[in-house]
Amino acid sequence: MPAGAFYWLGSPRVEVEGRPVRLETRKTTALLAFLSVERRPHSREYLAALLWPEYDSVRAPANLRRVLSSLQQSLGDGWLSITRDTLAFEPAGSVSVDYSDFITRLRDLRKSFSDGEASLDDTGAVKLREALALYRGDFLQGFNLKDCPEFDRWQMIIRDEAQRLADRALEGLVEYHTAVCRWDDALEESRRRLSLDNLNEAAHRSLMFLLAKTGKRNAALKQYEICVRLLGDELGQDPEEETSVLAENIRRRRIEVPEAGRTAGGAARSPAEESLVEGSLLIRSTLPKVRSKLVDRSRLFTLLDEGSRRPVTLVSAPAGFGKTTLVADWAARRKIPVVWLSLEEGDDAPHRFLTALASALAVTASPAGTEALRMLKSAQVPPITMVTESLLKDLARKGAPSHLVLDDYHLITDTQTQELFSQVVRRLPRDFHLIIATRVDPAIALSQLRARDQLVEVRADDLRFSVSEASAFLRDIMDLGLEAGDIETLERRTEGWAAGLQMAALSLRGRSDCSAFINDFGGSHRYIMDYLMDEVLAGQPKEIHDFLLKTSILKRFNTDLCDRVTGLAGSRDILETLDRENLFLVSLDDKRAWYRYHHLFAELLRHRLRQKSSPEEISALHHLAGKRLEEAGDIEGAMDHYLTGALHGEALRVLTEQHDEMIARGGLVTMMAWAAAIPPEETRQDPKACGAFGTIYAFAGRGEEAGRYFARAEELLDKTEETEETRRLRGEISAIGAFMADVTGDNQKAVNLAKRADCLLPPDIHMGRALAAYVMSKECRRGGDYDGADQWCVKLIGHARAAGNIWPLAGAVYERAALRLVRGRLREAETLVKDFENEPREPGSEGPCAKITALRAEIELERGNPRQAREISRRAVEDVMPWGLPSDVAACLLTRLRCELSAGRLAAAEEDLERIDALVRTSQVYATMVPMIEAERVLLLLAGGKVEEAISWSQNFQCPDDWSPALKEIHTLSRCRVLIAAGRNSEALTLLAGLAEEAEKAGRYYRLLEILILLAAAGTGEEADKALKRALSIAQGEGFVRVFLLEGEAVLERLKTLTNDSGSLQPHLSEYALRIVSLSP
Amino acid sequence: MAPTWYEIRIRETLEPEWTEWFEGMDLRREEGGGTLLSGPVADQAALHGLLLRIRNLNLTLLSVNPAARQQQKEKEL
Repeated sequence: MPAGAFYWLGSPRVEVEGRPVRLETRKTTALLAFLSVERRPHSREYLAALLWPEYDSVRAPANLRRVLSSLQQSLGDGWLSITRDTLAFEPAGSVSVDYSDFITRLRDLRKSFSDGEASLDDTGAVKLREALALYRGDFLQGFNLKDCPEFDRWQMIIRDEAQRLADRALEGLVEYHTAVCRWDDALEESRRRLSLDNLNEAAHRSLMFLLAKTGKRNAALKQYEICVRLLGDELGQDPEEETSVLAENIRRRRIEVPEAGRTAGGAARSPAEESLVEGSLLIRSTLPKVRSKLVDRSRLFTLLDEGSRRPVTLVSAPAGFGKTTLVADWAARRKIPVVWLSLEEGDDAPHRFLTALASALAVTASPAGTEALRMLKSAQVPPITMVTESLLKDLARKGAPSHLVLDDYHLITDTQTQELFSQVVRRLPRDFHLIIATRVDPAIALSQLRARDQLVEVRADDLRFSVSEASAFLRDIMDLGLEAGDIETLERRTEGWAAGLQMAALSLRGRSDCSAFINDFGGSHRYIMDYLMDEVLAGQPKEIHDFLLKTSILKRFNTDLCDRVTGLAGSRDILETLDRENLFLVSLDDKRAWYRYHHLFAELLRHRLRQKSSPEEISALHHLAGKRLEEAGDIEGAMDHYLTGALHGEALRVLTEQHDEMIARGGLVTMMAWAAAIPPEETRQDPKACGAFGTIYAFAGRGEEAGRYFARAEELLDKTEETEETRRLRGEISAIGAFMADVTGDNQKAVNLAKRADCLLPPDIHMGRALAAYVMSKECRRGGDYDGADQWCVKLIGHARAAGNIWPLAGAVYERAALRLVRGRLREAETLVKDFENEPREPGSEGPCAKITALRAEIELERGNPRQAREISRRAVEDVMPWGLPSDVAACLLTRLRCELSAGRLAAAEEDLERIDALVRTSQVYATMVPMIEAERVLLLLAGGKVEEAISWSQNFQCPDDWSPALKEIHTLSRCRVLIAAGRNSEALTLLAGLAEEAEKAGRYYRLLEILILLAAAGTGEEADKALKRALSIAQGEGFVRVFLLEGEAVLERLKTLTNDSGSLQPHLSEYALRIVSLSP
Repeated sequence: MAPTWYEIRIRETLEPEWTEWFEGMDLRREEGGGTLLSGPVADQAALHGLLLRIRNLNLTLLSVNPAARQQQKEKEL
């Protein structure tokens, strides 16, 4: 009995007795594959028609006979059952058909990896992998019978089914290996899924996720770009929302990287410190944990359920009525996925309020508000209405969060913020539910909401504990066995106020004379909390008493922070005790690591603390807390304590020490708020602090304030003896001053200051020297000395690398590449950009590197790939926003504008132009950017058919005299475009006269291209053709495409005519012209 | 602007040591329960600050009246 193996998955192969069998013809292979997969008998007639559809009923069966005999000769006997009418695959010996094995194994295993229940275990995974080993490739890979449509269809069905199963199996394995953290396996399997079908978006997603998870963030983002390109090129589609959201999360580093996978960089932190930082950031938006034992408040749940069917639920009652507990308990028990935001005092301004709101929404499983958040984090926040629009749009999206709880809304008292919130409430999307817990009714149109039955209210009277609830509370929660009469007295005296009842219960702990105490209490008129606080504190051991007072200054705390502030080591035990005894401790996370006190309790504690301690003692506590948070890297938390404790010296020190790094991390907005909170008279005494403040304002584009601080610093330095340090500080101030002057276009001042910095700075102060070199390079560029500019940039790169600062490094590379673009050297520019992007980077350098990303978009755009360019430019804008340097923001926005314009998305382009205009109005953006912005404005107007407006722009815009020839040239080209659009071609030609020679002489080859193409657009006949041919021959070597598409139909038509007219173009230019035409929209 | 004298009545009885909590206002127990807070209040913002403190402690506000006492006091002096 012969043994045979039939391999159909991958390129077809047959073995009998371990030896390969050669099948004579392709039809032989097809017949054998068909029969061995189908297994049942088929009529000769059917098979003949299947394989020879074009032959008649005589020739086809004859061919079948011939193939059959060839097959039998190759295989030998014992494989087929042949009758007069039918054929079937009926092996006498042992046989394996890989396709059938594969299908059978997977169908058996299917239950373990599909149907949503991921119950795959290690054994299952091994079996799956064995099965997958059979799948060497697609069914009959590389094999086809083009002239047999029926067979072709059959092959396709089988192939697709096998592929689908392989994909499902791989998906199951990826899921399993992800769950057990076997990243390498999961990665390999994800890649294999994509090799099955590179348009499988889910597979792209899982690969992106795994790359991010293993710390390969850049690779993950590259994968996204690949996915965007493939989908765009092959299907003409944008990626699904889920994919872009994932990319967004990767960009924003929301994919947590497990320790082992984290790439190097950043100071190592101990686990305790890690949690300290994490805690302060995330806890505010965590649903407060409720105790498992709570009084049954189903009557109130019914009210909240009602609210869930209306837009707004208002839980309005004074402190201590159990609002938070009620809503949290309800959400937890009803399993409603609420987004929770506990507001804080600091949120009481439109910008801060929206930031808190968007942050809470953005950390959910289906993030909303991420775009709003980016806008808010930039130094120049766009109009607040744009932010709310974006937020509301996100909320209206399918799958967006549907329940938002705003706790402690009463902390919002600022009129503008209230007005903003009321607008948001009016425009909430359908099916969105807002739950407001507050001590004061919010200033929203409550009566209107009531009248329209859009509001459910839970008020103090509803929240009051009834006698039976009070009795359940005292008995079940507080473990107090009290007489019915006593309970009634307590309920009456506290009026069902939850905090009062709890405080009373705490005072009763361990008392033998409960009834007597309750009677006294019931007869007293003293403020309950005051009366009882004394009792409660008196009942505590001194250790706990002190602990409570000292820790009352903390907004939230863990054992580590408590240890530091109290100077004790036993905080863990104390916190556990407090938690056990129901001492108003609120647990903030699952791990019971972070806590806060109940608000009212904390206020009473702070009151006691102020009575018992001097302001100096309290300030000392803030000092301890601030230091601890600072050590853990929570600069914001530390500054909070320094500023509250009036520790301005510490606050100034932090600002002075941290400002460089904070600027690099995009903390400009926060730092400006801190700077404003420190009394100026303290800052003004310290030259270093003045230098730091000046730098902060300079980077925020607020030149006037920056100048004042720098002047003050110099003034102070004048009064002190000159030391190395003072020279250095002066040098640094000059360098930043030079940079500012350069931005504002005060060129002479910039050069003078740069030279001064150069004299003053010791050679190893690389940052200052880098800025000076930057200014010098700009000066060379203005004078048209491009090589000189490039040499300064090379020096600058040396200093930037030595300083270890990414920002000037990126700036230098940007300059060098941008210079090359102007000179028409697209390839060189590309090499510079790619080399830079391939260098390893510290996390957090996206902001300063964003404009390099923007350049990459520009390069793609010039090459005629607008879709890819747009995706890259969007990433550049996203990255640059939190960084916030106005000139960088404007540069990235300008690139995105160009990309949107090229993709024909005029509305989006217009939006970008508005934002750029706003930036130019409110802060200092490079003066040299103005002509480029104006050029895009004209292109945008013309693309929208607004010729009249373009003409009036042309008449009104005055080109300043001090613009360099290169800048004036840009302006002239814009005017030409307007003239051509208005049909005034001869005027355009007059303007263009002589420009080409000038541009060529100066080496501005990109401008030369533009000029030549404009000449072709405005001109006629041979002159125009000549210009266009010349443009083609310059552009072809470098691959410029977009520049030809800018001037519209006239140029395209001329290109087409040139290619049709044989002999007028050299073949490689003709081919290039055709390519340009094919890439036109 | 000169501060205005205010009298604020609350239903609960507060011990005098709470005076610091209320920005140095004079606290006087009223017969039959309740407390009268009286003292100079710099401006409307300061007044709202005081009311906020009352609210945050869940005290029951009964009345808020300006002026009268200061004139009386001046006469007494």
